[in-house]
Amino acid sequence: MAHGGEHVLKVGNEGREVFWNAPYEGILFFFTAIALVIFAYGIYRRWQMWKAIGLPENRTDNAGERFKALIMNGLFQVKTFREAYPGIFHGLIFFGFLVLIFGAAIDATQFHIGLPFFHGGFYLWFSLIMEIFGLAVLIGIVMAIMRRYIFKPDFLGYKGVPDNRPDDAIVLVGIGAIIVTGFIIEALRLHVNINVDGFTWGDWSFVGYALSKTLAGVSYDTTRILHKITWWVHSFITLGLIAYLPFSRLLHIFTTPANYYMKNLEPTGTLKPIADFENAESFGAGQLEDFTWKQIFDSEACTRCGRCQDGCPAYISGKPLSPKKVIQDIKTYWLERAPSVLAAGKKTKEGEEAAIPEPDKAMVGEVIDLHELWACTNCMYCMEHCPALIEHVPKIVQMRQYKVLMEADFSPELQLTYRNMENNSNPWGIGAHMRGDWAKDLGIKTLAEDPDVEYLFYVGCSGSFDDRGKKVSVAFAKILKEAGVSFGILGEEEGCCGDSAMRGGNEYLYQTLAQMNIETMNGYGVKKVVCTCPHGYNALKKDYRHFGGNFEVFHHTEILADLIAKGKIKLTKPVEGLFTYHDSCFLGRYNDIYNQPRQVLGAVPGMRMVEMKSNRAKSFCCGAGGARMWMEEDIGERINDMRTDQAIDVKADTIAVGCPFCLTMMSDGIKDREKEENMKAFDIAEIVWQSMAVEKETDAGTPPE
Amino acid sequence: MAKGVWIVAEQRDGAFRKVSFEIASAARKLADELGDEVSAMVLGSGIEGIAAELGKYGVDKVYVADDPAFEKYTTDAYVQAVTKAVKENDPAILLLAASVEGKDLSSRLVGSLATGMASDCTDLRIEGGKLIALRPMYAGKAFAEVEVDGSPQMASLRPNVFPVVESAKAGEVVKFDPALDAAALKTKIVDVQKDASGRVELTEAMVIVSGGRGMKGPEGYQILEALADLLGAAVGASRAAVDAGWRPQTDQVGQTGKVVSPNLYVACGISGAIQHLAGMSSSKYIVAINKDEEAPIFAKADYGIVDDLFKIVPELTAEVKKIL
Amino acid sequence: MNIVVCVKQVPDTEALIKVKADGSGIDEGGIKWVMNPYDEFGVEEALKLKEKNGGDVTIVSVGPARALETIRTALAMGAEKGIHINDPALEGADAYTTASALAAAIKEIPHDIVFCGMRAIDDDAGQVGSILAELLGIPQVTVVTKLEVADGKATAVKAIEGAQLVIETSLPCVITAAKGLNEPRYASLPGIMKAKKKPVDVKDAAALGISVAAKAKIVKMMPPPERAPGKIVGGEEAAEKAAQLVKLLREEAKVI
Repeated sequence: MAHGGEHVLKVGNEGREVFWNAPYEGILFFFTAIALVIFAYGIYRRWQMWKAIGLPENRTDNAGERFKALIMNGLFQVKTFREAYPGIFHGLIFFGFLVLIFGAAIDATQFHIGLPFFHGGFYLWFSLIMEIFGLAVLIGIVMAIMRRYIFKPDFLGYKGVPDNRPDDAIVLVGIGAIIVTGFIIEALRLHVNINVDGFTWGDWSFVGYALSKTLAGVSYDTTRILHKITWWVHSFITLGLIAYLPFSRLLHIFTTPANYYMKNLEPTGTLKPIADFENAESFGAGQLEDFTWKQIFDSEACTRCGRCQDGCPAYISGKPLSPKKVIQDIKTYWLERAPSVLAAGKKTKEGEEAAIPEPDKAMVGEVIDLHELWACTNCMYCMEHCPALIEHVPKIVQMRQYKVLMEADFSPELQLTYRNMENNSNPWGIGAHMRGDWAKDLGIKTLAEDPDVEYLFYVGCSGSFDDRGKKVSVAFAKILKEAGVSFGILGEEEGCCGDSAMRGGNEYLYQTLAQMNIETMNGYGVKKVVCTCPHGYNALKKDYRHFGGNFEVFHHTEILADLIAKGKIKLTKPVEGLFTYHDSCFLGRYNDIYNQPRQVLGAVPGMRMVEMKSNRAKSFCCGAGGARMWMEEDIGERINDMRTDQAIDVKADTIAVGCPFCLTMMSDGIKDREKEENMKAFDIAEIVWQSMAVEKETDAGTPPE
Repeated sequence: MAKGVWIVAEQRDGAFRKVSFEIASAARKLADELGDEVSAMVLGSGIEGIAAELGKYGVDKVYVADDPAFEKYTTDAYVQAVTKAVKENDPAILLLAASVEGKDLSSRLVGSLATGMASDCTDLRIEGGKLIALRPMYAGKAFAEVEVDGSPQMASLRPNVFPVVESAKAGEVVKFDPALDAAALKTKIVDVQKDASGRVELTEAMVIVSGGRGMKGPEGYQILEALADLLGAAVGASRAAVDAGWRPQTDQVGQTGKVVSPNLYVACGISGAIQHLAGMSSSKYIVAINKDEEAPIFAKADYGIVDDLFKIVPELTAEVKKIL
Repeated sequence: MNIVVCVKQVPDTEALIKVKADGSGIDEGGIKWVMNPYDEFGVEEALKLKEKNGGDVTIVSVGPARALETIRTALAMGAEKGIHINDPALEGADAYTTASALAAAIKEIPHDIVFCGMRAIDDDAGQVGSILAELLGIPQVTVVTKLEVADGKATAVKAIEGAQLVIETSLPCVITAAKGLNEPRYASLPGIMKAKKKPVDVKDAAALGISVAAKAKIVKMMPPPERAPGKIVGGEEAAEKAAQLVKLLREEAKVI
């Protein structure tokens, strides 16, 4: 061999001959070419399929931010590391392979061009690094195999049935085999080297060296033959995996990073509004073609890791919904449908309309089961934790839109809710004229009476109509008055925020309600809004901007934290007990408000705090989001009961919440679990008001200001 | 010149219904003010024997249309007969019951007699020789005084509202030949399915025990039924309970269900949505049993108990058993 | 099969009804107007029949300009066309006059079945359907909770005190709808959009050739009498409260 022979390998000039004992490079190049052709064809074919179905959507704007997402999650694996075990093994494999590929490139360069430094100290360190990362990949693979085939966590399957496909095994075994054969080759080479060269630097290749010791007594010729065989096996497995990659789960090496780059740059949970009701022919997603290409591409980035499913309240409570399954079902159908659409396109002559076959399955009802569709609470756990940045919730909402807007086929309870929202602008259908009644005796002015206030207190439906919610409104309003905050309410002019309509698929009703509120608020020149309901908070803050509603929106826990920090309110009266805080999805995962509620509670004297098993970004939904508040929950266990159990498990006697829906659900959970005697649910505002010890003074005769 | 106060008395299976005595008594009162006679018309098959009973409640003359065609109420046959009788006798006032049957009959008579009617009235008086009726509208959220101008001046009377007053009159029975035109009878009753419960109908009940969302499920109604059976009461439900499928639609009390006015309405686990209150607020006495002391139902109730209905109702049943 | 549905626009069940100070009527300010819920059952049943047997559904409504919204609501649910009888002289019309207007309009169009609500939840009179049947000279079945139409006749179930009657009638006929007949559908968005373009004929009393003289006139309206505040029955135990209540009902109220 011409290459590599320039160096005499000895101590002080350590190295090795690349391609030693493998003198058939021509044949290898031939097979490499074949593998690359198959690989290229696979990618090309996939590319065609990605382009075949889906509406247009721009996901390449703002390159800077996108590149950042790609680096953070692609290179540094930030999302993947959120879960320890899979984070570690994926990191071992990912970083291991990254280094091995780089090493292979050095090897190849040395072989073809020659690297002047590929010997001596550099070579020894190179060997050691390759050894370590090779071992890392192997450990990662073993961990992955153990998880998938021995630990068998439910999230890798569905409802207790494992979802282990041949592809999973091929990929794991394939990668493992590359590493193992690599080490064996090394061992065989070292064995020969030791025998032939008086070799001394074996410890720099410690795995291969250790392995080579098992070869004692094997003759030079036998070793050469074994080396040759293993070398070819190693090469063929590698080339095989390259060729196989576009057809396997390994495709995620490309699709998942692509998904990072094409991530949604809108605020969490915002849904793209339907722009034109008058002229559009179809609303929502009734078939695959109603999704954008990116929404379909999401399913290509999915590796079935199951993190979405692992925290999905619907799944955990025994409903058929699994976010993973939704994405995979879309993928399965796309894999059926895309080739036929492609084929139809090919047959079509220039200028003709392609005769695309009619979809043989309805997206909703056949591809995605209706029970799955309506079980989603829009809690955002799946999207928060998906390491591939897949957007599950908007797809679900869009499919709901199709059922509601196009087919008007949805649950009677929800129909009643929507009628109530249409007629009385609240889900209960209580007379709209009673919206401001809770504030009657509190001396709170409406903006109609005095528009010159700093904050609009947007009370929302629960705070205005629900008996429990009204108490929260009263407590919060009293705190604001006590703190001297300038605020007003809209009273009868306020309308439902529309969140439940939007998330339940009734975009038309939602927009009608949103526009009425925005018109009213803009009419009074409202700048700052405070909400006690995270659903209204989220809608006003993030969704109303699409219709000209640009307000600075605060949740009441933010205001309370601020008032306490500034000393505007003093919490003096001890509130005894063991409290746990339930993170509302629309506050936590949607708006990253985790600390303020805890700060407020922390400022209450006498209180002891304990965290439930699921908290902060991993909080377990109360079950009321995504319009589920208004629907029967007749499959599986009740989500609110399961959440209540978590509070019972940590022996909390009070569940503190910052959301009226959660308040209802937790109160019901406490009733269901028959813990009413020793457990309560309170809104943070109520706890603060209790601790302010103001009411007692006024009750005792001190005239209110 | 139209003269006299007429009623159409309602009977079923050969016995007058209580509401017939109520309208007879009300008619008597009007006739006394006008110095007129009260005539009643009763239709049925084989009912001649009972006709004179109406005399006890102030009816001077009873027109009896006894014909197999009248055995069961049918709109066509009854309207034909009553229209003929009214046209022949030309009364000034015609009163009927606002019962299921009376509503059907009276409304069609408005058409056949081309007149006007105040329906479901809760009070009647004569002013300037004319009938002035008081009737609830908007499910009791407003009341209206209605002047009826046509001839006869018609009114249908809400059951359970007008007192039964005995005032013996002749109750002279007059046979009336309806001379039915059989070709004009286009409807027929093909089946009568009696309700299994045997309980009195909501709109007629003197006592109603009603349950709402607080009943938690269809099983919860068993304790209400036990109490209702003891009191001879009907069992009602709120819209929430009906929408949840716990009770049949026919049990719904409220603006989109039945409007009732019993002597006693016991609301259990009903918060008191406006639409429910509208259907029962004309009850003489309202009892509310609810855990939530702030439930709006307590504002309408004469007697309220703030407690768990599942504890209270069985105790009530036990107490009632003691005194009955 | 040609089906006609009479609908009325009424204040929402939850609306605050304020009687004007002079007793001349109610204050319409702030009222949310909706289709009379019983009429909705009629519309739904008509649409179901149409879907099964083919034909047209025509919506007829007597009311001021705003009543057009209610007609559009029914068109959005799936009816084909509307007739809007709008005449200031018909404002506050009594049942006979309203039925006359409806009858005059319906006589001009083919009708196998005419649906009405069993009553409107504003005036609560429940007369129009029957008067209309009489004026059209066709049979009626009122307060219907179940309906089957086949072989030129309709079979309807009507709940009476303590029983369900199964009534057979020839066609054409008037059916007044009660709760339980069906679950009215929620209009789809394309339905709502299409409804905006569906034809609605507007007619006045003169065009229909009817007299507008009312035979039953509201002379005065008033709010309902206030109820005296009630009392909360106290006591420690459930048994004590129950005993107390029974005593009150027997001795004070004298109702049991």
